[in-house]
Amino acid sequence: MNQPDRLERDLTNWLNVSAAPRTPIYVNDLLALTARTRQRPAWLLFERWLPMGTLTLPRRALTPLPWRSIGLLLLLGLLMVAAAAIYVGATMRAVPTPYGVAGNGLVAVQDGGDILLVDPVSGERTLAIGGPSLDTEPYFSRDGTQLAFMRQTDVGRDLWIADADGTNQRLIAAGLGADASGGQWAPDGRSILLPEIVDGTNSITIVPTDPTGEARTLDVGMPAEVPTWGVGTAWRPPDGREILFRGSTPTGFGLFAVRPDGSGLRPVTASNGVNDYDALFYGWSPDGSQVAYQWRDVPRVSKRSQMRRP
Amino acid sequence: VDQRDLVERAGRGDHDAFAVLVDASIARLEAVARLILRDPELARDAVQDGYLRAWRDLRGLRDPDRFDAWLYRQIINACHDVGPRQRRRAFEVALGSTEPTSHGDDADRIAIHDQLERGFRRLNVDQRAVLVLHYYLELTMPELADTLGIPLGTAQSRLARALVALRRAMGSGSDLNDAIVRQGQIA
Repeated sequence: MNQPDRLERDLTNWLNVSAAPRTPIYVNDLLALTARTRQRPAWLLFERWLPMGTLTLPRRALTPLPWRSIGLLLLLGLLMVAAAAIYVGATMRAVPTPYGVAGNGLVAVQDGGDILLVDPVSGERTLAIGGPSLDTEPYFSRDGTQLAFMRQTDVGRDLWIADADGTNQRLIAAGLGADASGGQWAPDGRSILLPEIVDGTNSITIVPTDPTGEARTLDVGMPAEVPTWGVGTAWRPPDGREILFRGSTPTGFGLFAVRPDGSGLRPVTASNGVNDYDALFYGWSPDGSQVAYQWRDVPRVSKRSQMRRP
Repeated sequence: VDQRDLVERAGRGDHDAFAVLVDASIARLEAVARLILRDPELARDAVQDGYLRAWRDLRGLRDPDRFDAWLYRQIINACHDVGPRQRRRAFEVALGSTEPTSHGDDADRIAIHDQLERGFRRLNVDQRAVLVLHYYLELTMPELADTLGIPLGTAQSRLARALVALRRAMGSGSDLNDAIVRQGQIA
């Protein structure tokens, strides 16, 4: 080591003069503070797991985090997420809960060619769809805001929808056969599934509730029936991503599922039944994970895990 | 009672043992913090923060014999943390030492100390710390490296750069400084 130069000597002298070490008056406060502080367990301490020689804390080597920039970025990100959520929320149509406990509401009934709304508690009846036309088969959408019904004409049957109180009536499908009956609202209220006979074959038709839309028949390669009665809905809960139907195959009747666009056809029941009453009653469980169906005269429950996949 | 025993007891949660360690070291470390930060209030914050960390994390110290170096590091790290507050505080200038200076002080010495004070304030906390540890606490280079947790060569170069920075920070506005700068040789 070289001999200290003048600067070093002056520096040493100045530091010693300036230091004037003394016990600070706040030492008792400090000890009171540490006495109130709990020691951290050794296993939590980073230093405990490293050799002392490398117990370095080269804080100066660490680049200080740009907290202000990070904060601004986080704020910007939150704003973007909020904007996206608002946009999506504004453009999405609320899908009502298709199942579960619901409040009591009006019951739509047909009476002499008119549609009436009946309060099940008071019995009060209100005319919803009146006039000279013959209107039948009313059924509410899942959210109760719309009402579908059939109107009989000289050439066939037309499918109409209206607001829940009967106003704002719109024709969505015309010239349906007499067999077109027992429609089911899609969970999102944007279409109605309608069983009908097309060219002599049981078929499933999906009718958009938008009057500008075009009805289409699902091509599933076999006669397909959707029950107009039974224990559940054909639309798979909660979002209607599949339609459950009873298909007629050369080996018998079975349950099948298909996406609303006609793709993804798959069998649901492991085998087919030859009895006309096999799988005649069926429906999804409320969460869409199981299908209940009737097999001959023995009710069965098929768990989804037991379903045969395509 | 030797220090090792006190450290071990304190590590097991014996606060009385820790209090003895504090009493034995706080005057020296408070001076170190004051020298580095050049602000009594900040020094107080750093000392309190450093000792609080020491107590809280003492169980992480595997070798009780290295308590001193470890404690120095807690204080130095605390100085790093409170140092930035200096920029947000009003600049404080000490009117003079509270301790009597030696009778041998002369005008040159007062001038040199004034130059050192001004130059030292222009250094960053890293540079001040390495100078204080070496020239005030008289830590050897290996001890300095150990305390800072850096290789010996790095410690040497850091000290050399701190001295160069001090010479430059002191400026060349006076003949006295010119003389110091001319005469100064890096150790």
